Amino acid sequence: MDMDVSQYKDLFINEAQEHLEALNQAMVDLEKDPGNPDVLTEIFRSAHTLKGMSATMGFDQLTELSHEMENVLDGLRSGDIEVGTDIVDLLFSCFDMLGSIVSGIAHESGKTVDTKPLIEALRAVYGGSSVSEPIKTKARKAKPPEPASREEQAEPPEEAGEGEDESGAEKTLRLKITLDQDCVLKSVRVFMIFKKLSQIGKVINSRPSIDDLEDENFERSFEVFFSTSESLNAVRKALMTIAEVQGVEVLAYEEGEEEVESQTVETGAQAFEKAETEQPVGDAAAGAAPVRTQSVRVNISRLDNLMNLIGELVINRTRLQEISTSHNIPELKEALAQTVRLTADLQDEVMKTRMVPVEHIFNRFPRMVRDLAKNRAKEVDFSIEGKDIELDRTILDEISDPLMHLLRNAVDHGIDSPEDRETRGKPRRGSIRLVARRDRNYVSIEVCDDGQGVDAEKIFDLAASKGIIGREERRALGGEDVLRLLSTPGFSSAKEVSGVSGRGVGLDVVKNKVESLGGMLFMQSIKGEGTTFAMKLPLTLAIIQALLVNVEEEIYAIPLGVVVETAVISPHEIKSVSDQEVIFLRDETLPLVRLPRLLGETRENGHEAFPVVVVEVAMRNVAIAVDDLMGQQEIVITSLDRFLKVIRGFGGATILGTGEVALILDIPSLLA
Amino acid sequence: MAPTVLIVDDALFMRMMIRDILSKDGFEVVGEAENGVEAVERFKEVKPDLVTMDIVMPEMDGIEAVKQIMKFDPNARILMCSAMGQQPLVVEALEAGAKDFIIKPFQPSKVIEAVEKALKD
Repeated sequence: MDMDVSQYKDLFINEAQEHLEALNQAMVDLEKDPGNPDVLTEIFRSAHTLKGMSATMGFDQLTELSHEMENVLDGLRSGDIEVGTDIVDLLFSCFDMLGSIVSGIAHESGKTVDTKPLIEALRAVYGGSSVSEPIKTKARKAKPPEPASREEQAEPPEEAGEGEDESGAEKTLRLKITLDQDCVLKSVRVFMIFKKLSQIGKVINSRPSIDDLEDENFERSFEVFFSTSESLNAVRKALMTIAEVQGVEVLAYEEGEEEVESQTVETGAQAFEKAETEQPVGDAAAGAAPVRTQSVRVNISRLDNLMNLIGELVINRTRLQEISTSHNIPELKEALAQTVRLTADLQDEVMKTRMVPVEHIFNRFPRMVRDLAKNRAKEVDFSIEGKDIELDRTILDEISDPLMHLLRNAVDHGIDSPEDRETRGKPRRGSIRLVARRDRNYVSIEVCDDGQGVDAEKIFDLAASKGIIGREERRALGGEDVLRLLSTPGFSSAKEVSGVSGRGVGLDVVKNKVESLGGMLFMQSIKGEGTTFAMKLPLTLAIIQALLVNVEEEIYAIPLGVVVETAVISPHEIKSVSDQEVIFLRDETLPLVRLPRLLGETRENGHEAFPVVVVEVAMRNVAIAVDDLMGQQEIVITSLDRFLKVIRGFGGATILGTGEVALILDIPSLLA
Repeated sequence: MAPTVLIVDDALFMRMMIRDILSKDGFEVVGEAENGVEAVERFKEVKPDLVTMDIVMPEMDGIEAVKQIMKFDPNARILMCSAMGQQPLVVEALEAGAKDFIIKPFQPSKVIEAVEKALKD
């Protein structure tokens, strides 16, 4: 009965990846604290579990590599091998290799990797034997109990038997015991057989010798001279309770005049049928055993579907609400109030099921920071806080790259070199903290370093010299403008920046990503003391509050997260500053962007008052002119497929209660 | 009445697999535990006819769990699940009172054989 393991593949990949993450994490810890036995044990355990799982799935490369790794880890544990940088690096390379094999399996890429160099390197470390017999050295330790006594061994077995009775009287048996063809740990089986025999009698001798049996120097069967007062059947039955014992044959039987029949007991269906009736029933098995299942693994696409369905439900609910309002049916209104509450609860629950602790992505960062710091000759202590904080799975996946970017920046450009730090009177080792915290309906994730900070003045000068800002503007700039400049596309690509502050490599990408998720990016920096980047992210993406606006008979949705306020503006309030239309709203000058024009309309500006929506983008406010404000509504985001995704300015689409489709404006990219 | 089994393994993947193998063959899986401490607790709670016990686990390993379970119930039937390279530990577990062992990678037939034999013992 062979087993179809393919159904376990997803689960295997998931869990294998978790173990690899744990391995990487623990190895970073071990490097910091090489003597820590707990960490070593944890690494060993993960490697061991991975090996067992891989073997079960039949992934030989994984099994072999993790087996070799285990040998080295065993040496580390026992102290035979010392934890050194070369070993740590070697093990890290192994983890990487394992990781790429696992992802190869996940993507069914079919690409092959060569694990030989690593395996040889591992063997060189522990001076290991060939892979084909990796267990031999250890198997020796599995000592079967000694036969009754060594002196008796030389004596012929005949001496022992002289009883008359089937059971009760002492007799000597010559047993031939056969193991299953694919029995794995033969020496341990031998141990069990001898243990069992010594419980019901006395082992006198064996053929081959006990030493050869220990060393597994036998094929499938061996002979035992055994003296017992038990009946033949009892002996056979006792031995057959041991797994992988295929048969017990009585070759000779010394007990008076009885004939010895050669009998073989086969394991198999009949034996089990018999067992069925004999099976003891545990005292607590009387139905009282509680079956508890605490958690269920669900494919993420199921949750996505569920969320979509709830989305549809919300749309329908809105439609019903519209009907009840336009027809003014009090009963319907009442019933709907209940539905509104229920759908809100339902939505809440489903949202919770989609929440995943941030550690899912955080766990891979320590290794990354470690490698990077080593590569850049920086000394960095990396710490993580708030890894239990939960975020929607989709958002979490999306922010992984931006976070990596921020961390890379922190190591690359934030943290100063150990020498520089010492001259500045700071500890040699820099610190980078990755902190997640929940803030009502937002989660904020911060990357803080205690490095050299950003020199705002230099940034301003550079921006001015590159013509990104005018000289006038230059004077009015404050600390909060640094990020805006740094994340201006193209600003940071200049080489000279890395010499000055180095910040901003790809920051525009990070910022756009965070904002497209409905979040915000902040930066705080003190020259010489360090920099903190903070992402403020919504808990979920799927359903948001939006402001619906009308432009040229089309409805658009603006996520409420970016909306500061709305106002009505008369044409005479519009001023022009260096070719840019602006309006004054409570002492603040706001650039005015006409949405119709932005969307490609070419009509003349009217003379009537029109509404504007003030939005916050990149920490400055912009007024967006629209034709009409339609109100606030909960909308369900349907993302655009990959062909439409390339169009800038739209974050998705939604279906309104009336059945109409409205595009959701992605304000940051629209104005970029 | 189907014999009841408690599955102990730190890998969810392995637990799922053993569960599937056993339930297909008519055993009733009455509990799962992912470390030794949990295993001992669950054993006392559900008093299964049989326990499948992984050896290398966090918190408390399978050997210690066998010792504690045997102390609680000397008639407990425990089947060790081990990967290759763990012979000394397997022997230690057997000496502590485990009935038998199976080696990963599991073949369903072997698992069933070992389970049925252990129950018969």
